[in-house]
Amino acid sequence: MNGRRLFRTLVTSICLSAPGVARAGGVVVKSVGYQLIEGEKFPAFYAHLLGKDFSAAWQQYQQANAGSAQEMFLDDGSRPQSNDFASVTVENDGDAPAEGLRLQMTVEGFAEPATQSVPALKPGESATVALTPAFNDNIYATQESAPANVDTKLLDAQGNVLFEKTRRITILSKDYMVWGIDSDYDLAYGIAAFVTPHDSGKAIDKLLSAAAEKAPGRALGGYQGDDHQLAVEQQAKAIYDTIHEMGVKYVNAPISFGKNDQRVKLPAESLADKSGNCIEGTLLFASAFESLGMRPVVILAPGHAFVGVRLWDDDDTILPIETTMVGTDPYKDAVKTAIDELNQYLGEGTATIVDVTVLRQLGVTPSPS
Amino acid sequence: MIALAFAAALLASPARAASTDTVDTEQLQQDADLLATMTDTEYVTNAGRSRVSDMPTGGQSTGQAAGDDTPDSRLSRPRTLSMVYDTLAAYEYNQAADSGLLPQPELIETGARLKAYRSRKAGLFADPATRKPSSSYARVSRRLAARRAAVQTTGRSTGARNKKLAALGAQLSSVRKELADPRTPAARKAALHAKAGKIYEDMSAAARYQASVAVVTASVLDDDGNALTANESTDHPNAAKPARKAGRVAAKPKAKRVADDAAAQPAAPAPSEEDEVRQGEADMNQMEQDMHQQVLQRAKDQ
Repeated sequence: MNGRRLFRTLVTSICLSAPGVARAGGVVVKSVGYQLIEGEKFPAFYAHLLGKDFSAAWQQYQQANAGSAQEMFLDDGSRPQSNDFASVTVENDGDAPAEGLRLQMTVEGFAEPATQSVPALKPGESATVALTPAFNDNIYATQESAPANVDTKLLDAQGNVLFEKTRRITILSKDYMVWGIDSDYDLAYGIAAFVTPHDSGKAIDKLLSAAAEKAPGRALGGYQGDDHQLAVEQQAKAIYDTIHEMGVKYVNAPISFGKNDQRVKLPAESLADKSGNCIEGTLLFASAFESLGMRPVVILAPGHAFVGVRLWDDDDTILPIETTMVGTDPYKDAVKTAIDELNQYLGEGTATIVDVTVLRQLGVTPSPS
Repeated sequence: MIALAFAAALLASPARAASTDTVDTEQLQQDADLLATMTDTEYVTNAGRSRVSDMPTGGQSTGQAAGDDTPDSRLSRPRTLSMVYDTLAAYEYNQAADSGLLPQPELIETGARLKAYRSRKAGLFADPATRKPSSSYARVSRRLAARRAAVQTTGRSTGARNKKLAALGAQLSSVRKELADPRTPAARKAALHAKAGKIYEDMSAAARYQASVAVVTASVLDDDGNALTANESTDHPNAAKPARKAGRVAAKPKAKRVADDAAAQPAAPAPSEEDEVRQGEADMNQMEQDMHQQVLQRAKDQ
């Protein structure tokens, strides 16, 4: 199936309307909409991003950084949006006011019940209520896609069930990245959740400890020093050379950015496996830079990805690095290649720069690992 | 393909010199096509030529030639392209608003956009109402003369194809086609002009995005991880500027990020373009709020 078409059928809320699915005491559940891909799949990586009001955060960021926020994304469509797991529209088509109604939603085995009050409805009024269950750790433990039941209930003031609907969904394991839903790239910001500087196994910490041995003064200090580019590059080279010596090899598996979903290894797994494709290598380097308090960017182009790091706290100049060359070429060549690539992609209008630091400010936090 | 078609069009008609009276949509569109298909380096080189009777004299960089310190001399190719698109957007909004045939919501939106553009004339190459070009437009046009001649001679473009611009250009072609159809009702034409304005704005944003991303020019490390000095590598960012401290790319404070165009140029006491843009955007926001309040008030009154 064509990737673009695949995602066109995705998640938009209230897309699965079922008019008149319930009628109880003059209250009608008009529709129940879910954030699902192809009407049935939910990517685990997105679970911890649900319920956050990205639109408000984005507006605040724009106000605070007037004139510079445009660097983040090429498309308006790839800015984080507000999101909830589901929304339910309830209508009172009876003659009496409806009060004390509650909606409850459970994702069996993966989330605790979420309960939300329905506003008092006068006759003829309707209300749409957002519901986002709190997902538990089980969702991040799934190694393969797993089935789950989503149970939605409408309760009256006495706790009587007025309406109940169960829907079977599929939880995509946490290593599934989905690049776009409503457009090709509108979830691209989610890749920042795969940048995990503080993994539970301390893999990034160990990498940086080893890299520090190669750095001047045997220390990686992040943004410290007088000469910005020199300081950043000495640390970047130390990390690059360390990953090279650890034997991490590039696996030729192009990313499906803008076209489809795909499985993406988290940085700790790439280090353990000693292999990664372009996006996985990019995430590994980005995690290391972020762990040092530096400002990494993920540079995306159709079919490819590489890493960049801003030169300083107050300097947005990007030092790009082609991470796929880490197993075979010296650091200097990887930088030269990446500079050429970035300029080319910018010239073509195909580069999307995902600024991890900015996204953290907006609430796109690392995926639990 | 687009560039070749454009080249053919140029060959079929005499080269247009920048008019001193007015500048029309066709002229600006040709400028945009030229800018979109030339390299940044070529634009800078042409800028150097333009100051000495438009004759080739060597590769002086923008702003260094004959003390050219006017605001346009500090604009990079992408930023210039963005301004051309902004001017075209203002033209389209002006045509849409002038018709008086837009439905109320669109009229408000178009009016707000137009007013915003009018309030920031420094960001345009011509007045959208009178189409009288700014003095900076004449200089930009002269810079493009060499490129225009080269396209006429070879029919080839040198820059990378910007796919985003190409996609938006295709949308624009569709709008233009409908506009050219004599059967299209006047009210529909007004709406199409407004739509074209929005497309041009998107094109401007795409061009500006490219200009806003600063990238290092080369690594400052040698193979052993030591700092290179300027004379050790021709790739070194400071190789041509030994006076600067080796191994450093000038840090740009956040407030200066958008004015990337000016970063490589000699300091000049000129008005800040970003301030003008910011002021324009603030005006626009205020305008939109005012309009919104008026609509609400009108609704209440009714």
